[in-house]
Amino acid sequence: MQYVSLLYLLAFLPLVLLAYGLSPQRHRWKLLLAASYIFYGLLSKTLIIYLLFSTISIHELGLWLNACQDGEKERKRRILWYGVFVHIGLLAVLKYSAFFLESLNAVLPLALPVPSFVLPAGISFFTLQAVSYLSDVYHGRIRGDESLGRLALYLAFFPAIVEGPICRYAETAEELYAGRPLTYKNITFGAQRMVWGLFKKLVVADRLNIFVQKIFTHWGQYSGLVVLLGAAAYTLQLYADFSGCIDLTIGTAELFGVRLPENFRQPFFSRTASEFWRRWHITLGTWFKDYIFYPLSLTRPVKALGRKARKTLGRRLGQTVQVLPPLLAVWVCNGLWHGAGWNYLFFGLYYFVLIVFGNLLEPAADRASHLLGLSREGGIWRVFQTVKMAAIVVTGELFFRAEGLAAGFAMFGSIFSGWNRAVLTDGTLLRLGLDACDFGVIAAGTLVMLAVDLLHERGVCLREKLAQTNLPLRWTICLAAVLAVVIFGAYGAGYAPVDPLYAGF
Amino acid sequence: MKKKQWIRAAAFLALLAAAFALLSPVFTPKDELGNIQEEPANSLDYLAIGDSECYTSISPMQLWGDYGYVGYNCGLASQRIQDAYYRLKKTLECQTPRLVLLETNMLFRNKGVRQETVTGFDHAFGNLVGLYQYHNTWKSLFRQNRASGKAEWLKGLRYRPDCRPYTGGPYVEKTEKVQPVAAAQRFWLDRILALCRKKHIRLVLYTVPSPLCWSYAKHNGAEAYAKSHGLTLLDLNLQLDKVGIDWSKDTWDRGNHLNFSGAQKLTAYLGQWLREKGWLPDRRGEQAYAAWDREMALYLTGTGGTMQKAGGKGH
Repeated sequence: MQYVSLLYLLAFLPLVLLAYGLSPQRHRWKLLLAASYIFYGLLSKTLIIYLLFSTISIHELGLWLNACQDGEKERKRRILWYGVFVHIGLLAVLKYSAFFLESLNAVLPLALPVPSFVLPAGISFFTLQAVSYLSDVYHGRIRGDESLGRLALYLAFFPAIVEGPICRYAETAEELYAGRPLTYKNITFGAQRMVWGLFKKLVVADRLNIFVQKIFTHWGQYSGLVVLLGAAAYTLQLYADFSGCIDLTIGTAELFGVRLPENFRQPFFSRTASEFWRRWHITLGTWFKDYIFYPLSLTRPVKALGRKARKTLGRRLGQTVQVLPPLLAVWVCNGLWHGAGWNYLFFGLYYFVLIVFGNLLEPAADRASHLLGLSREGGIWRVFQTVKMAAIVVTGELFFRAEGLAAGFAMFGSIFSGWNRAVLTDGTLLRLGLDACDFGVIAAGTLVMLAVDLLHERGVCLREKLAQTNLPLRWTICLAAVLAVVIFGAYGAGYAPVDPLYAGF
Repeated sequence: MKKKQWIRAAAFLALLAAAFALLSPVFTPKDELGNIQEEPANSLDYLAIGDSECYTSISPMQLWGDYGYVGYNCGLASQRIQDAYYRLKKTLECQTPRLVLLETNMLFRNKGVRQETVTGFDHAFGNLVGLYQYHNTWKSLFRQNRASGKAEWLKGLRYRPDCRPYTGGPYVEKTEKVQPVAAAQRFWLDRILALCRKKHIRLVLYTVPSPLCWSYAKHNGAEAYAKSHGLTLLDLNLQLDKVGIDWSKDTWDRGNHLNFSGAQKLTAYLGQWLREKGWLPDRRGEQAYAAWDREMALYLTGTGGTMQKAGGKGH
């Protein structure tokens, strides 16, 4: 049962909402928990055992941490490490053991058996939530929860379990537990956000799927502009798909009066690679920052390295050197979190290099703009940065989506050969699974997404604006939005259902 | 929520439902069921339903030429049984056949309970809301050539004269193993059966020879269903000699589907079998069916002008 399936949207969700509204406030969290486990059970069947294990283990470990006295630092640390080891270890075995053993077999003259595990849905997401919970309890930011049910709901909340956002216990658990009443505003705002998510997912992302799949599956047959368009199309597909599913998730939570953290903030308006990652998959970025970057930065060897580097290289360079080890760890983890493959690792290192060089070249960029007489806040510089970032992101996504690192390099290289602008007009693009109508819908959908992102970037809250308009206009807009999704969505006969892309990571 | 807000939400949903109801007929194509809608109302005596195994197997024009039986091959590529049910239901609004031949391959198209529930819900909703099912119709506004291009005189048969032989050797090995018809497919088959019984139509299950799709376990599953419901099962995989199938000539995709030569042989056998049963009338010479004679000429020209007579090794 996918979030975009009719069974979910027209049967499961309305029934849960109805039951939630009719339940007494103190029992509402139980209803959400039951719905979450039913949803996850339908999705993962027996693999639900992993979720149960994760929930019970962090509950127990949280209580152990509570029971530790102030002076028992070492014991607390051992409990934390035990929990982290078990969770990350389980994820590593299920997700990475095959990749690790295959790589070992390829490098060494070995023939180790390669296991094949079925990954439970959402394990990459709920594992990070579990680890963040334990870490927060260890650091005293929160108390270990005595309610197993509340903790279970925090890990399993059905709208967020497949694709996130990665929630923090302190921000979300109480929201879920509160059992807020259904309100007109929450329902209308939540439903509007869900329709917007469906628009991005069904109209833009899923329609692009066949085009992207053809180019990336049969990449050897294409070169030049076609490969470049394929990479750009995948970038757009991934953004529309993931941010669309997140809109659907946040909108669903909003129906119940639950506020989940935002995961996107107009990433394509970023000026630098680091800013891009502060706007794209925000909850993953902040998780890595809080639970990998900062803890590693505060370790003795890294601090000593920083002192030494500042002494020999000066303050600015020394600071850059000090952050290199934790930054490298973050980007290796980021790459591998997305998948077990060399291309994912390359993807992480690609951004590591870009961010480090971006920092190092910052003074040079300052001088260049000064020499050219360009204001760094001016329009021309802004356009340059936007184009630069688009090129960086599209290149990164090409490697990310490619069927292996070698295929990624071959595709990247092929962009510069066989460059033929005629493919735009000679019908080549129309032989890649989409017709002119499809391209028209994608172009119109992308323009709508761009306009909405532009307004959000300027701080306009469209749903608030819509709520202020008169009823006939508001209803007309809402009806048009629903009908646009139903009519122009890529689903049903002739379209293969597309699983949410990030659910696979 | 206040009472006024409930009323407002309900009013919006009513408006949405009205928009769906108004737009559904606009989006539902006139030829929703395909070329069968070109046939005069209540003119067909049999219908064949199923997936691609069906539409590559029975040639209605050959049955007309040899026996005067009038019918239509309603098979559709990858058709699922729930879809077949809804299409049959719609077809029976304008046709009153005596016999429905249901090809059994779609009884074993099962994606598991979870997926079947999802697609079943989709089909039910799509059948109710034409706008959802035919939402892609908007594209036809931009198409220059709206003709379907399908030859009317084939009456639903997919004409594939090419041949890519099956070389896997004998595949019929008797076993006691049973692959039962899964619950979801049984549910829809029950509904098809109930629909046929309500309309006094005889339902016959038939299985097209296919080394790649067929297994004895599936045969046992279909037979179990047929026996428990008093239906006839005609499994032609067990009659290969009588039908005269030669896998070096009679398949276009290495044993998955029959080609035109295979379809001719199967149709010839089926025609003889139907004549022995005496369920269908011979309409040749009837004024109302004069068009079939004209279409027969087109059929013979279009398919190379040959007619296969029943005559496998067993005949």
